[in-house]
Amino acid sequence: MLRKVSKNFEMSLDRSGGSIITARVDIWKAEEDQWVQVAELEFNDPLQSSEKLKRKLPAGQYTCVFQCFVEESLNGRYDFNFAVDAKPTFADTGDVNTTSASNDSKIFKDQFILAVK
Amino acid sequence: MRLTLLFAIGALACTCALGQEAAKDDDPKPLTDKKYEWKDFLTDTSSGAVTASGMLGISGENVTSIENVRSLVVALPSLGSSDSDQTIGLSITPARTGITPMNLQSYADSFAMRLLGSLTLSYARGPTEIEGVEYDREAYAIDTNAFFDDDDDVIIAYAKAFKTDASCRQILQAEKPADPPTAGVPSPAVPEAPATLAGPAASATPAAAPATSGETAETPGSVVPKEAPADHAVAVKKRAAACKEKITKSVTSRWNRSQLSLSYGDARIRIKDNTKSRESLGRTFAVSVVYGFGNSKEKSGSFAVTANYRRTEKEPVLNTLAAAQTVFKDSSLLVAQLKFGNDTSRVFAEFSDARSHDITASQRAFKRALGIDVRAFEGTWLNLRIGKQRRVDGTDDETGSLLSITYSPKALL
Repeated sequence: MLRKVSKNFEMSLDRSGGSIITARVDIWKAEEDQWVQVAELEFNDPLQSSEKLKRKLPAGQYTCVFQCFVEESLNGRYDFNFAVDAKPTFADTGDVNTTSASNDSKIFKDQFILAVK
Repeated sequence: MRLTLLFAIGALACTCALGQEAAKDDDPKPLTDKKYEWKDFLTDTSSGAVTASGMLGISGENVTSIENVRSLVVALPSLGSSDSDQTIGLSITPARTGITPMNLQSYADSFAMRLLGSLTLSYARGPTEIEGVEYDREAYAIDTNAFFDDDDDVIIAYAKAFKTDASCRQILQAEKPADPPTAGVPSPAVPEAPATLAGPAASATPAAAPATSGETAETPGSVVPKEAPADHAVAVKKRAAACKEKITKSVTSRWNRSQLSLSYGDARIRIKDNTKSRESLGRTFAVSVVYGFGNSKEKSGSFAVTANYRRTEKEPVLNTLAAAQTVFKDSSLLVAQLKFGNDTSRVFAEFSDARSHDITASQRAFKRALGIDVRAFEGTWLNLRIGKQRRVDGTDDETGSLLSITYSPKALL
C-alpha cells in the first residue's frame, strides 16, 4: 500500500468500543544495507476517541510499520480507523472477547510505503 | 504463611468456643441455633450486596453470567421452563456485554457513566421448604457501584497506563520492516492487499494492487491490517499482562478507595400447591459510601469512613407464610465505620442505629463496636468485634464479641 503525503503530514487513529486500542507507527528509511528509524508515532491514549499526530520528514520514500494492540476491557467490542493525511489506511471492527478469559486480545502488524513529496 | 494458617485455625476454634460460651451465659437460645447465625451480627459492607441469587440463598454455580448473545440464547430456554424445581440464576451487566456494549471512552467520561457501566441486573428463582411446606421463590435485583476518582478504577487506570507508565508504553515496541532494506527503493516485500477490505470506499474498489518498487498509485480506502505473527503476538501479550498486573496491584492496594454502591432487590414467594397467592419476600434497598482519606495515585491513605444504609420492606415472618394472614415487617439499619490501617490489617470503630425492640436478624448488629480485620490470605479475612448489642429478647444491651472468618473476592472495607 502506498500513501503520498506532503512534508508536513498527519496520521490519525479513531477508535471506539469497550476495548483498549493502542497503536504505533515506526517510519524507516532504507540506507545502504540497513533500516534507519526516522520517526515513531504512538497512539497510546485509549481513553481518547481520536488521536492525531503530526510529523515532518524530508522528501523521499519510507517504509512504515503499523502495529495495533486491541485488548478486551469493559467489553470486547472494537473499531479502529487509521488514516494518513485523512486517507483511510487500516481499519477493522469486531469483538475480541472470544474466550472466558478477561484479557482476550488481538495484535495487528502491517506495513505501507510513505512517499513524502 | 504457616503462622497465618495457624492463626486462622485458632480463630476458627475460638469462634466455636465463643458461640458456646455466649449460649451458656446470656441466652436460652444458643447463638449456634439455626435462627441466629454469625453472619447476622456482621454488617456486610462490600459493594453490590443485594443480588437476586443472594436474596434467595442460591449459590454461585447456579448463576449464569450473560456476556454475549450466545450465552443469552443458552439461558433463555431455562427461563421459559415450567419446571419450578429448577434453580436458575442469571446475571447481566449490559454495558459489559457484546449485546449493549458501552464505549471505554464514555465509561471514562464521568462518574455517572461509570455507575451505568457497572449496572448489573440479576434474576433468580428456585424452590425451598419452610417448616415442611414447599414454596417457589423468585427474585430480581439491580445493583451498581463506582469509584469517585477514576484513577481508583482498575479499568481506567490500566487504560491510562499506556500513556503514563514507562513500562506500559513499551507494550508495543519499534518493529523493523519485514524485508531487507534497499536504499532509495521502497521495500519489494510491501504486503499485498489483504483479501478483506473494510469500509465502503474499499468495497467499491478492486483489491489493492501489490506494492512494488515501481508503484506510483495510491490505494483508496482502508484495509484490515494483517495479524501479527504468533511469536510477536505472544511477546506483546506477555508485556501487556505484566503491565496489567502491576497496575491492578497498585490500584487495589489502595484499600480505602472512595466509592458508592447502590442496590435494590425484590423477592416473591408462593406455596407450591397454590393454596395461597404469591407473597412478598421483601424489598431491599441498600446504599454504601466509602470515603478514603489521603489517597494518592501511588500511595494508599490510612483512614476511611464508611456509611451503609439498608432498608427492607414487607419482609414476611417466615413461620406465618403458610398461615391465612402473613405477618410482614419493615426494618432498616444504618451503620457507620471509621477505619484505620492498610491493605492487610485494619482497626475500626463501628456505630449503628440498631433498634431497641422488634429484634430481627439485622438488628442484632452491634450498636457500638471496636474491631480488627486481619487478612489471612488473599480475599480471606479474620474479623474480631467487641461491642454493645441488643439482647435477643430486646430487653437490654449486652457486651458481645465475635471472631470470624469472612471471604470476599474484593477488598473488604
